[in-house]
Amino acid sequence: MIQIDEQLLASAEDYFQAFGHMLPLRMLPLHLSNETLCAQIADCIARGKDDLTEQYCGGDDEDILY
Amino acid sequence: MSNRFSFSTADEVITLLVSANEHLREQNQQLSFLSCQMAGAFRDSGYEPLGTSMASALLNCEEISKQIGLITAALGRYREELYRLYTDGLIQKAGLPEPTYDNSPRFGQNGEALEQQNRQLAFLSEVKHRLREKDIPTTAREVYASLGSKCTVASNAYTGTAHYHPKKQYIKFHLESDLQHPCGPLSSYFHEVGHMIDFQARDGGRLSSDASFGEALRADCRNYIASVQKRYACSEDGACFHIRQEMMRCVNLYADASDIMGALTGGACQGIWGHSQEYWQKDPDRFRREAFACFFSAVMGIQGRAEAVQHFFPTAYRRFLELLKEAL
Repeated sequence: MIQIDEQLLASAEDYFQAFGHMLPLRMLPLHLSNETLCAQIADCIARGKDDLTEQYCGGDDEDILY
Repeated sequence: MSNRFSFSTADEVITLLVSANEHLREQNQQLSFLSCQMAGAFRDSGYEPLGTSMASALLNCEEISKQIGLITAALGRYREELYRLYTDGLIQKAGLPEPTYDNSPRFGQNGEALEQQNRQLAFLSEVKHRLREKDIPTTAREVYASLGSKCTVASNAYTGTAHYHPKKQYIKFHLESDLQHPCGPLSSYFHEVGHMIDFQARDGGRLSSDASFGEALRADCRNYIASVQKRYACSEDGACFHIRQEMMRCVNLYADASDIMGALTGGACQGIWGHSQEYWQKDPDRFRREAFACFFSAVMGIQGRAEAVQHFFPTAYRRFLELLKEAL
């Protein structure tokens, strides 16, 4: 597991904020793959965006390329 | 004679003319200086006609220099016109329609339709701008015009992660967000189109499956880490730290390199941008597919992104351009 740099995390969160409920299109910030990401996803789910979890997990089609 | 040959010929001739004219001006200045120095001597020795001839020759030289300047300028305009015709041809080949501005009341009364129309116009405008951009490699623009632009867009209002579906051969992305992508307008669109080109350009195989492309990516990554280790006299972990810091200085320009360096190092040399490690682990060959798409998005993207890719992956980038030619 990579040690998360607080500055990196803050920048990543800025991106997240800029995109509202969406994760940055196409690419997912690695440094959010911890509690922060979970909290963000939980927040999105709460706002009715529960498809995001499926998107983050890559969906059910292994062939899809992001 | 192809347009590309004409461009390079015109460029060479313009360079030669500019150089010749500069040389002529330098010679003329020296001659003029000499003429001034010798003016008294010509007069005193009774060789005034020689001085007059010299002055006349100087004027002729100036006139020739002016003419060369005019020819150079005319050739420059011809080259620009040729370039415009060439890019018009690319746009026509890409099948991009001319923007139409419909100000009829039905759009005025329907804000959503108007917004949708504006987004579509912005998309067309941005793509055309890319096709005219001189800094973008010609091969990339030609491949986009002949193949990439034919990519089926199943949805341009998709709120999930943009993607290419190889079986269904379509892309889904969110146009409105992509027009304001932090890495430059239409970064996601060109990335997904890059996947499509990779899959459809070669019969019975993907361009990115090329063995030397994959090897070059790995070697470039290793070499870059080694060069940073050498520069800072540090361990591999230390080099990865420095690379992460470097990527943080130009987060968005380094997005493509960050993604692939992250894939090849298990996330150790990654900036902000990148696919998740779970994504890479599902298929060990994905880094090649993603590298191809990242490189395509970078070359079609804003200035600096392709340079960033070359900075980290010089050999793989060259191989990518060679592979792209196969798509023509």
